[in-house]
Amino acid sequence: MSDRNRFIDLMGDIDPELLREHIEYKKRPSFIRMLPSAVSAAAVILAAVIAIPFFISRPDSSYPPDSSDQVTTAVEPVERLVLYSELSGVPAYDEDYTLPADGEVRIGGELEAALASDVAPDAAYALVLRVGSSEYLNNISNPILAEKANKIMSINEEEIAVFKEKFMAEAAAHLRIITEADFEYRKNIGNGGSVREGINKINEKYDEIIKSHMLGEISNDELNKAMQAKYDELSALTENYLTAHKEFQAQYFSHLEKLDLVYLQYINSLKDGLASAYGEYNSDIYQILDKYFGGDNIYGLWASSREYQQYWAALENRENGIAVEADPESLVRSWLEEYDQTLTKKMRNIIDWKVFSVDTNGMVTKHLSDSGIDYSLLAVKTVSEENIVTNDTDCVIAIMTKEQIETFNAPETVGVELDLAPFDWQDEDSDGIVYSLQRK
Amino acid sequence: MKNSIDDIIIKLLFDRDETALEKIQTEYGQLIKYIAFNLFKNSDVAEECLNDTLLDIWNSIPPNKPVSVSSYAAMLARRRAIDRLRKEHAEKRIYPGNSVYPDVYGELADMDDLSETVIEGIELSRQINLFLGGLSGTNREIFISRYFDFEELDSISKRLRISKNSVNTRLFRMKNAFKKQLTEGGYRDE
Repeated sequence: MSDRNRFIDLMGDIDPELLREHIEYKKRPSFIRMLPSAVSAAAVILAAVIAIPFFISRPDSSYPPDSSDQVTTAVEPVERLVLYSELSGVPAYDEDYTLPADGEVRIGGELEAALASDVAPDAAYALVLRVGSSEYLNNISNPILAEKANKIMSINEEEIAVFKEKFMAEAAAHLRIITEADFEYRKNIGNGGSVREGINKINEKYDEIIKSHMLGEISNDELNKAMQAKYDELSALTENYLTAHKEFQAQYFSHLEKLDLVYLQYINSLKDGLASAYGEYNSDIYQILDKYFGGDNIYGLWASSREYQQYWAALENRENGIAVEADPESLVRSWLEEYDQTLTKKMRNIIDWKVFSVDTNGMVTKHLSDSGIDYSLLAVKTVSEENIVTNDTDCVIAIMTKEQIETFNAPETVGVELDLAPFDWQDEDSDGIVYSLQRK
Repeated sequence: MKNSIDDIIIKLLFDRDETALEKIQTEYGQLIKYIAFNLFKNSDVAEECLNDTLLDIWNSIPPNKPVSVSSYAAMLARRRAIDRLRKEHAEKRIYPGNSVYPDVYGELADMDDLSETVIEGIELSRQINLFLGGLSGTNREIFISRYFDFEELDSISKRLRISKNSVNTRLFRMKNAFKKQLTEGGYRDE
């Protein structure tokens, strides 16, 4: 018998107590699983009570695991998180990843102080800190990372501000032109408009001639001449319509293209900034841009806005000689400002994300010294072992749902409270694990 | 609760009361079939393994008096299923389609040098238990799920909500750590 067969057989003779724990574990509801063994019974109860709203609709897991038990709970804002740190190391890890003693951990300020305390976890969500080698911890203020981070942040603060002004001015001009062209088109051409009126007038005019012919008032020749004239008038009208339509299209699409161009320039400025900070264009940048901006159409967004409706009403009033209450200029401007805030927020997400992801290995770091809480290191990224194993990545910090914490933490984990009220949850990634953390 | 059920089952078995088997089937039938199903991906075979396991339990208790009927049943079911798998493989030279066993067997290739040292099965078993006892909860769950239950990596990953790569990595580390433990214990050369 091969040794691996022997190993497989001997695995069948493992300690019945360990096996029983394993079986019981699999039968437990997921939110009870993997709670740190050091946690007191009271803390477990408290955690369970707090967690109940999040899991109340979840079915208990059964043995074998039910696929319905694999749903990730939606992330919701919380004001208090729990920080866990695997300070005592994981026996199964290589010595390279053996963690330093608690006192040697240098992650700065309140975070360090928080780690030194020993408070049982009692929140529905948690921030997990996984630290690697002491070498990394001594290099949290890694100048390369700091430089990249600062560079990106400076792009955010300065370059984007420049593009923002340019974007606002140009976009407003194009939006006004396109909207007014749209208004004119619909009034005069689209849906019939004045063309329809023109056709009706021609028809009415020649209906009278036809009636006269029926009454014997005019001859056949006169009728034929009149019908030729009607045809010519209708042709001219159609020609005018087509010309106007083409003119409108040209104007409309020209400005739409210009608007898109302005918008793209705005986005590209960010892309260039990111690429510059990274030293290269990489797929991450495109993915992020696509994720945040891929589906946006600025004119479409404008056309669906309340301001657009007001602007349209103002155009109609102006057309009808009614005093215009709303200032079209300010309507466009106010919407653009609102839109720009959304853009800026999205960009900040990108910026923050990239700061988190400055390490090419996926390590995430961020200096939040201006947050009022001086964490030297606070970041968001997937809790994936490969980030620790591969290359030189030493540290992964992640924010996880309580469920994830429960299934992730080792018994040796210690939990401490950390007030993260100044922050907001953001979205999660496709794996349902990664969340960004934004300042409120 | 479980202990009292186990106590009842054991008593019924000692009394040679066949209702014990019904209770085992009710309580642990799914567990027994789960292991067999992982190996064969066949519900009928899993059902047969359940019957075989019930018979084994009936024939072995008494005299045996396990502390945990679930563990005992899982152990017997696993043994039955593996024996059957190996027998079929010896005859047909193929494993059942989608069986996890060949994957697990392949993963354990680096365990093939265990025999480079003289280590008795009973001591190796003790070392395995020692090793498992020292693992973190999550890691132990991964290790047992994979090498006892023959659970698929995807399933472990989803159930524990960690990436598949992470599961793989942890298993890799754990195997290395186990071999290191054997080396440090003088059971294996570097």
